[in-house]
Amino acid sequence: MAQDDDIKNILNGEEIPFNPQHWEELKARLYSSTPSPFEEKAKDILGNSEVVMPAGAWDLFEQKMNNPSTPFEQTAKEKLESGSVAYNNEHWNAINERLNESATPFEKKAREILNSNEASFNANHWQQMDAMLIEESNNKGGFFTWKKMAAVAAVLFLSWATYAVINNTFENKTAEEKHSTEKNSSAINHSGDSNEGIKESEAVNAGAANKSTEKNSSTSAPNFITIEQENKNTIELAKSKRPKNKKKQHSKGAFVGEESFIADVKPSREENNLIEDNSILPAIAANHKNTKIHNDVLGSVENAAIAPDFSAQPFKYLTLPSSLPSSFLSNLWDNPAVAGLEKNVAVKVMYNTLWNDKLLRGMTDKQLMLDNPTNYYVSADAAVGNKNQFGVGAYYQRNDNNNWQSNNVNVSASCNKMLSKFTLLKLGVGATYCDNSVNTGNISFWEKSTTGGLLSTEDAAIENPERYMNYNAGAWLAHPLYFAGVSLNNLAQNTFTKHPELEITSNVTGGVNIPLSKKTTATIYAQRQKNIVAVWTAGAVMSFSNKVFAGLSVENSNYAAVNFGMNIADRLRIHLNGGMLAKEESLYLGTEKEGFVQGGIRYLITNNKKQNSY
Amino acid sequence: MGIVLDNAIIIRGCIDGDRRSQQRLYEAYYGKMMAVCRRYAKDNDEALDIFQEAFIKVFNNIHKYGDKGSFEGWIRRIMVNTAIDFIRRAKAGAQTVELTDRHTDTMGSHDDEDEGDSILGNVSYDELLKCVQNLSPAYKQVFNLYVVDGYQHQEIAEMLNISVGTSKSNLAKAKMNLRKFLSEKMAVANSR
Repeated sequence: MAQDDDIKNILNGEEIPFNPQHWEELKARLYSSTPSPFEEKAKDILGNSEVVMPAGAWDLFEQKMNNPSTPFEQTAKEKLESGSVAYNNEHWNAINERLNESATPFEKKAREILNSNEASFNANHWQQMDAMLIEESNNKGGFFTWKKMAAVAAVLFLSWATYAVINNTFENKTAEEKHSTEKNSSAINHSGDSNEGIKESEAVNAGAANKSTEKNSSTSAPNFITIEQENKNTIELAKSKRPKNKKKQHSKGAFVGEESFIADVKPSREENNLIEDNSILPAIAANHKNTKIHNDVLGSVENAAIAPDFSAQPFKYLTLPSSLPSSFLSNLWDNPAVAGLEKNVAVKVMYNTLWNDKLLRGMTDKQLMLDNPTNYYVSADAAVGNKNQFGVGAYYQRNDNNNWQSNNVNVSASCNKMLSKFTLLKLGVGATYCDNSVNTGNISFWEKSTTGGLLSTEDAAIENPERYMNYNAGAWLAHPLYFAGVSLNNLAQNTFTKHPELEITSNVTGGVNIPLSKKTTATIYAQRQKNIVAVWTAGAVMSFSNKVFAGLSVENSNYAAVNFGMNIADRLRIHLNGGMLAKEESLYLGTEKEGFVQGGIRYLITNNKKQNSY
Repeated sequence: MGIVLDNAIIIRGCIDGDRRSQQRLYEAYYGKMMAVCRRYAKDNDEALDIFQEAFIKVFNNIHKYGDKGSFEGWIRRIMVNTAIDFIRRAKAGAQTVELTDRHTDTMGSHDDEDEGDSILGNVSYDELLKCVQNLSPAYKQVFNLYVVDGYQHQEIAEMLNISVGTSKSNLAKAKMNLRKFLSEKMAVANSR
C-alpha cells in the first residue's frame, strides 16, 4: 500500500511543463475550417442518414393545423388572426432614426452633402420633354389626331381623284372631236415661209392652205390654228389652254391628229415663245412628211435658246430631313427657302437619264432623231448662324443632249422663323445664271416639234447662246406632322430681242406625315407645278426608322414613278428613282413610251444628330 | 422651388394630359429629381436622358399613383428604378462584380466611424457628386441606394438581382473608392 501511495505521490507531484507549440496546435484545430477525421466521420454519418416519415404523418399534421382540436384553440386562432394594428407614424420615425443612427459618420455625411443640392431648372430640358411627349402621343395614335390626319389624307386623295377623272374626260372628249373633225376635213398645206411669225389674233397668210382644214381645227386643243372662214386664208391662233396631261417634266411630246402635233408643254420661256410666236407649228404640222421642207424650216435656225426641261427634280429624293421622313421635295432647285433645312452641311450628287421610245406613224426613228438626254447635278447647302437661323445653298446643273446643252448655276439663301415650338417658317431667295446653247444643224425633228420656242428665236438667239439671270423666291413651312411650300420662279422677267418675257411660274406643295408606329411613317403629298399649264403630282412614301424609304407617285394620272432610298452609312444616303409613261397616243400616231432612271447620293459633311433637321 | 404645388389639381391635370399641368409638375420636381439622376449617371448628359425617360414614365403612369403615400417618394422611386434600368441596359456586365468581389466583404469594414467629417468635411456637393459619378456602375448603384436613398441590403439585392453579400461588398468597395478619390482630391488641393 505504502508503495502504491509513493507512486501516486510521485505521479501527482510531477507537472509537465507548458509547451506553447501544443497550444498553437490546439488553437489551429479549434479555428481551423478543416474538419478533424472525427468530425468528418460524424458529418458523414449524420449527413447521410435519413429518418423515414411514418405513413399518414403529414395528413395528421395538416388536419391538426386546419382543425384545432378544441374550441378554445379554434377561438384563440380566430381572434389572433383577425387582429390588426393601426399604422403608427411614430414607430416609423423611431425605426428611421435607428436606421440613421446605424449609418456610419461617413455615410451620414455623404448623404447630407448629396441631398443638399438641387439642380436648377433648365427650360431647354422642358422643351425636349415637350417634344418627347408630343412624339409619344403621336405614336399612341390618339383618335383625334388620327381623325385629323385621315381627313387631310382623304381631302388630298379626293382632290387628286377628281382631277384625274376630269382630266380623263377631257382627253376622251378631245379624241372624239379630233376624230369627227378629221372625217370632214383635209390637211392644210403650209408651204409658205414658216419663219414668218404668226402673232396672236393676227391674220396670217397660210400659204396654200386648203379651204377645208384637217385636224388643226381641233377646237379644244391648244395652240391650234382654226379656220375662221372657209375661203379666207386666215388662221387664228387659239390661245386656249393646253391639254392638262402635258407635263412639265420629261419633255413628252403629244401628237394631235395625223398630220400635226403640238409642242410639248414647256416651262418658262419656250412655252411663252410657243404661244407668242408659234407660226412655225402649223407649218411643221402640215408638212412633217416633207423632208425637204423640214430641212428648210429647221435649217434656217442656227442657234436658239433651249432649256430642255426633261429633268426630274434632282433634289426631290435627296434631301430628307427627319421631320419629313418621306423622300419628298426639299427641292432647292425649285424652292430656295429649303436651303439649310437639314441643319447640316449636305452635298448631293445626282445623275438622271431619260429614255424615249416614241413611235410616230409615218416617220422613222432616224427622222425623229430621238435622243436620250442626261442630267447632272451637284449641290451643297448648309445652315449658318449661331442658332442656325439662316441657310445657304448652291447648285450646278447640266443638261446634255446630242444637240444642245444647258448649264445653270444657282445660289440661294434662306432665313428661319419659329412660329411655335414645332412650326418653322423659312423664307428664301435665289438667283440662277443660265447658259443655254444648241447645235441647230443636228437638231432633231422631235426636238423641233417639242420646243416650239426654238423656232421663233430668230436673229437674237442666233447671234449668241442664251445667257440670262433668273430669280426666284419661296417659303417653306415645316412641322413634324405636315409641311407646305410655295415658290415663284422667273421673278425678274427677262426680255430678249424679239422674245417674249419669261413668265412667272409657281410651285406649290404640301403633305402630311402620318406616324404609323414608332419606326414607320407614311407621308402623303401633293404638288402643283404651274408653268402655262398645271402639272399635278400626288404620291405616298413609307419610311422605316428614317433609314429606308419607298414610295410611289403619279403625275397627272398618267406618269407613274417609284422611288427608293436608303441610308447605307451614317452620313451617306443613296436614292434610286424610276418612272415610266406608256400610253396609246391615238389611232393615227401610235404609242408613246418614256421613262427615266435617276440615281443620287447625299452625304452629310457635318452630322449634328441632336439638331439634324426641322 | 418657388412653386406652390397643389398636387391634387396638378396630378389631375396630368392624368388628363394637360400640358400646362405636366410642365408645372416637371418644373416642381426638376431640381430634386435631376439631382437623384445625377447621382446614378456617369455625367450630366446621361442624367438628363434618365430624367427625361423617367418623367415620361411618370406622365404615362400618373393615373396609377392613386394618392397613396408620398407623391415625391413615388416619383423618386420611378427615377431610381429608371436609373437602374438605364445602367443595366447601358452596361449589362455591371453585376459581374458579384463574382469577382465576393471575397471582399470585409474590406470596407475599415472603419469609417471617425472619417465622416475628416474626409468629407470640406467637400462640396459638386466634388462629391463627381466622385460618386466616377464609381463603377455596380458600386455607384449600391452606394446610392443604401447611403442616400435609404434602401436596405435585402431590398438592394432584390432590385439589382444580386446577393446581400454582394450588396454589402459593393458598398464597402464603393466607400473605399470614394475615400481614395477624395483623398487624392485633398492631396491635390493641399499641394497647391
